[in-house]
Amino acid sequence: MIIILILMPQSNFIALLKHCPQKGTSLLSGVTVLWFPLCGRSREARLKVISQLFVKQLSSMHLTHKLELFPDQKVTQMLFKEVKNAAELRQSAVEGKINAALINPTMLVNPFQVLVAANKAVHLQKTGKMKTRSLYSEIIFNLSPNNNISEAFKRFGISDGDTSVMVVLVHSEDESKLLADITARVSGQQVPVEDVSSLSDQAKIKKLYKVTPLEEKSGTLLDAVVCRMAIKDVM
Amino acid sequence: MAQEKSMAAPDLLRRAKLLKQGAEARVYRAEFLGKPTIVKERFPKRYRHPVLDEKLTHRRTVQEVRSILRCRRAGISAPVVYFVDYTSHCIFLEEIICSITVRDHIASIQQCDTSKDSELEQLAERVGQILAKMHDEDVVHGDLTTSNILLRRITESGEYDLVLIDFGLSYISALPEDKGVDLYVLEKAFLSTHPNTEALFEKLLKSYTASSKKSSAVIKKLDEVRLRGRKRSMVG
Repeated sequence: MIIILILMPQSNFIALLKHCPQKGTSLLSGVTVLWFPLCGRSREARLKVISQLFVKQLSSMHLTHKLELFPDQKVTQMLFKEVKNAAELRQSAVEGKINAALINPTMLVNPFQVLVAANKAVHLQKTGKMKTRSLYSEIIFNLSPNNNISEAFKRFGISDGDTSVMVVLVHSEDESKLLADITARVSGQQVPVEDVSSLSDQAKIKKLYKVTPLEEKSGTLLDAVVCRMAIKDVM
Repeated sequence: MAQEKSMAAPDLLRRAKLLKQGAEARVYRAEFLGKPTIVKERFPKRYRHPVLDEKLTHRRTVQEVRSILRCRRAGISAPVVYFVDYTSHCIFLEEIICSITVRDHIASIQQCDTSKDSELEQLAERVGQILAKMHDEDVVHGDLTTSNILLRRITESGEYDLVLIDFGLSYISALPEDKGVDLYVLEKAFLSTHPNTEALFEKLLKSYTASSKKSSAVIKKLDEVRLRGRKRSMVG
């Protein structure tokens, strides 16, 4: 991004922000190719190329997945590091001012784990079988390997002193407004959702989910965790 | 029972590819949460009383996923369970990609002119080991056939990576009788699908005996069951 700013006069940058489309597919994958398409093109074309890169940078941060079972519902995950206002965020979530699940990323192995929890939560909501009061608390509860609600919140929800947070949204229409609202509330640095693996506390996860060394030999930790989440209601 | 039925899974399955239709369930392939997934749907049986049908189907669904977890915990490969829908009785399982059934594998080896007996023996021994491990965990599969064991590529060490599937009739039991019947069902299926493999099945049992801590009682029961058939009680 810095390279782009150096290349452009200020007026161009402002124009770029206005021009920046909500959705765009980037044809370029790296900054190195940036030089090439910028030569000998009209201002309009240059802006388009840069804005596509810009969108790619933004869109690769969060992760949105359309639920196959509920095609009108999408799950979006956003990950933040160096968060300074965890206590405030938690309070807002409790009061219902934030419509999202705030999850402690150290207990997550992979974004897929969140998808499994969210899909189950939507399913239970539609069939009227939720164990907790809202869809978002149900997502947190579904992450837990046992049926203790308060323990689930303690372990998988965020605590006041946390410095990282995974925000999970379930929505139907376009998410850009919802995402902007979340980014405005969190004072921290947004990082790609895939980075959650580098934040996870594997030892703690193994202990809480009771994953045996034997099991890890024949499958991944993610497999073990997902299995327990999916089956916990009948164990 | 005024239970709200979710139509989400049936809607998804209408667009999915049907792989197999059995007496208990239909098996589909679909994409779920971005992963290749096998969906097993237990359909209602109209000839049963609806309440009984619901109860049986629910219990079998629960037993299936419980046995899978129990096996996985013991280090026996079985498909990961992604999601269970108890209203439409659908289980969403990991698709074991790049795998063939042990049945097809044995058949293809047997077809080759240069018969590789040692390879078959190795495979039979591995099956015996896995089953011993499973029975030591008190999981009785209930439907052991060579089609219900998948072969997932051969690891660098040359060992067979076997995955057990279809725990639909499985249950937890420590009784040597139940385990003996489990092996008897396999023996029947094995010898009828793969002709002239009596010696090979002997190898499998030998390896089972060597690997299991509780094998002697089970093998004794197997001999008994062979004489009388799988039903113990002769009532009815």
